Amino acid sequence: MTRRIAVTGVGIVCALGRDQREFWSNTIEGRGGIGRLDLFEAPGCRSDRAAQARPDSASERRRASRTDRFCMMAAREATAQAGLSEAELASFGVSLGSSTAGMLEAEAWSRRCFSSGFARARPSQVLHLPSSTPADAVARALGASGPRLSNMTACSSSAASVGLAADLIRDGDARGMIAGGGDALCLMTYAGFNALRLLDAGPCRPFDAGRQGLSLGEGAGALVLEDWAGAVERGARPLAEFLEYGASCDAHHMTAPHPEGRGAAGAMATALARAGLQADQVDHINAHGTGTQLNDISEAKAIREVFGARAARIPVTSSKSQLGHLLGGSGGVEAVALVLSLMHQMIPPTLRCQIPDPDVGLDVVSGSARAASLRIGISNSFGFGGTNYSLLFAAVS
Amino acid sequence: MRRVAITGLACAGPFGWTTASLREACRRQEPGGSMERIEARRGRPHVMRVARCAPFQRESVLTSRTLRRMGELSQIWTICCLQAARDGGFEDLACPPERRGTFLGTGFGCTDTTWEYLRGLHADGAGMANPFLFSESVANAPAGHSAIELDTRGTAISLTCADASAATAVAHAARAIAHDRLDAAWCGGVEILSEPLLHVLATLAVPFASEGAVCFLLEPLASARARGARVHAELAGWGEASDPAAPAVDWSINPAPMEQALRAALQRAPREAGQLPLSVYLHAAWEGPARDAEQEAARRVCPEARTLEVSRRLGPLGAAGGFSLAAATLQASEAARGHGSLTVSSGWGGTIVSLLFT
Repeated sequence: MTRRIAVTGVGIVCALGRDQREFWSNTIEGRGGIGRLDLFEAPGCRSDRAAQARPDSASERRRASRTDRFCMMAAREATAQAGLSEAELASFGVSLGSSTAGMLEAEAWSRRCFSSGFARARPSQVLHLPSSTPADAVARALGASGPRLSNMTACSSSAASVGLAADLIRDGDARGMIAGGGDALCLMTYAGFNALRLLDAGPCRPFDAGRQGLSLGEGAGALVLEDWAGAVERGARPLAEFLEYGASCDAHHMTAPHPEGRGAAGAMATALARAGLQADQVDHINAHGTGTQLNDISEAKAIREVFGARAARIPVTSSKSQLGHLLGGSGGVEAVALVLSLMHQMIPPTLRCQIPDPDVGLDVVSGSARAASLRIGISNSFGFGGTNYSLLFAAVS
Repeated sequence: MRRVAITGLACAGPFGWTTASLREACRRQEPGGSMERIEARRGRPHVMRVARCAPFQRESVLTSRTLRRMGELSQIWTICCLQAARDGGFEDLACPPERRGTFLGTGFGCTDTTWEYLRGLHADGAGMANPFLFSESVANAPAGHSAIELDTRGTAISLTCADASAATAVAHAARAIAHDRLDAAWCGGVEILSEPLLHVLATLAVPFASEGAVCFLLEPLASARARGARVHAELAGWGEASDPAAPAVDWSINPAPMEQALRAALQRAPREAGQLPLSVYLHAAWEGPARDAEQEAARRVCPEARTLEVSRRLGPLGAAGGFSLAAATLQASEAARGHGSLTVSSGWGGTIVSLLFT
């Protein structure tokens, strides 16, 4: 019999808040987190906007990258909400995704190398570059000795981490997992998306007819996933149920999505099929919704392919309009947003979608938050390399 | 749960680009590569063994145009995937693209293209960033390229768990096959030695670094037999645990939690398979608490098994730790039935994975 999976804790840090309470209050009020970038200078780029978050105190700065610190903040909040004791945490695993990990610090190291040579650069600035370091840092901070997974699957990294964590629990290899991921802003990605002409000069406008690209953001999202029976036995209160996930690859292009949304549709359809659900049972979609021309159109096509005529009636939102695109962290943060939507029966708005693109043809929640009866929701994350993940969650009645 | 077969195997490394050359390298007593003097922090020279990939006529597998669109990591990985497909008789594999997946392991990723990209940012400014180098700096670029070349439209994921990356990738690919989530999976590890990475490793006083790739083609054993495919070995079990005391860029200096995690991982794989191995491939390649902990855990879990240490000859990071997995597969394919080989891969940061090949 398939094990059910409970979400017993969530944690989030992003431009809209440093915990779920602050985040949820701001997101429902329709506040935007995208402002002027001051973490570093990016001269020559068409944008000077980003959704910066504030990491915690400097106490861990010497031992952890900015990304590590975001991930630790989110994981600590999630495990505290789950009410896990030290002994219980020891049997839990960690599965996190990140696309750049300690790149911000590594950039400082590289600048020193280029200007003064390797001998003068401090290696401590580059040691947190591998994307395994956020998971290692979280596991160390929490004393988690279960399975450890790190993945670097571009913008679907932390969604992938949730799927892998669920596999481990379903297969009986872990009692529970801390899953999600994060990313800090860095010049590498800022200049890279600028070079690909994917940055909007102003704050991004997902699904709007006049959208011109994405806005970058930073932060982390974490979820505590547990075997449902075990969670109930230890007295935990499930916040939501993780139903299934779907994974696919476009096998089409390194940076552009498949024009018909082939892979994205495959990920959503696989998630539904594995969960034994019909398309008409989904009440809400937290879209990848980057605000680029190609992504929004191909995602809309994929949604129409999977949900048919009903696609136009399913409320869709893009968290990226408020938080920016957290790259490897976006899947985790958006999964947390979806869980909170299911808990509060409320959908946050997509900001700046003033004139919906007629080619999108979806019910984009814009203007203000919308109350809705939500039983099942899906969160989409797509990344470079054509990789796609869709996560399905259900509300707990 | 379905049984998992390895029907395709390919590798690239200092020893060459064939499994025969890997087998030969495992038999040799001397480690590969040569001693190089690398500048470490404060200009201090560090002498370390460096084993780079042997030359190979890459145009014999991929067109020049395709190769130009790929960084070094993507080239090596994609070529190995195609070689594994050929080795496994991929043309006879009747499964739709959506049921094929890619599980790539890499500890450091595309550090060469990232370095060149950052050099460009430093020299020319953020506004002049190179879009090609940017997209090739993403660690899952190799998985994206191989997915395009092989038309694999199922899961495509890049796992990064230091020296345990390849083993993690193989374990999760096997899991996907066993639980009927995929019908074919290319999995393994790839690592390259770039200029900045060597300087960092030298500063950390690493004695031996190597590069290369190992790629396995996995499919359900029943399907492999039905199509008459040669089965190199069966992937009979896998176990995962971690050591929360390990620092981010080293193995644990505290042997107790590491040994406990090692034992948990090592016990799990044979328990799933219902048999104990006759050989255990240890991972840690140089003297220290990590190696002692591995030996002790192996002795306690598999007291009858002999221990082997190919990482001492091939480099622990080689192919993201995948060389020892390939060596274990080759040994299992040659051994009598029931003579399994267990591998343990322990990465910096504390990830530990064991795999049982029979």
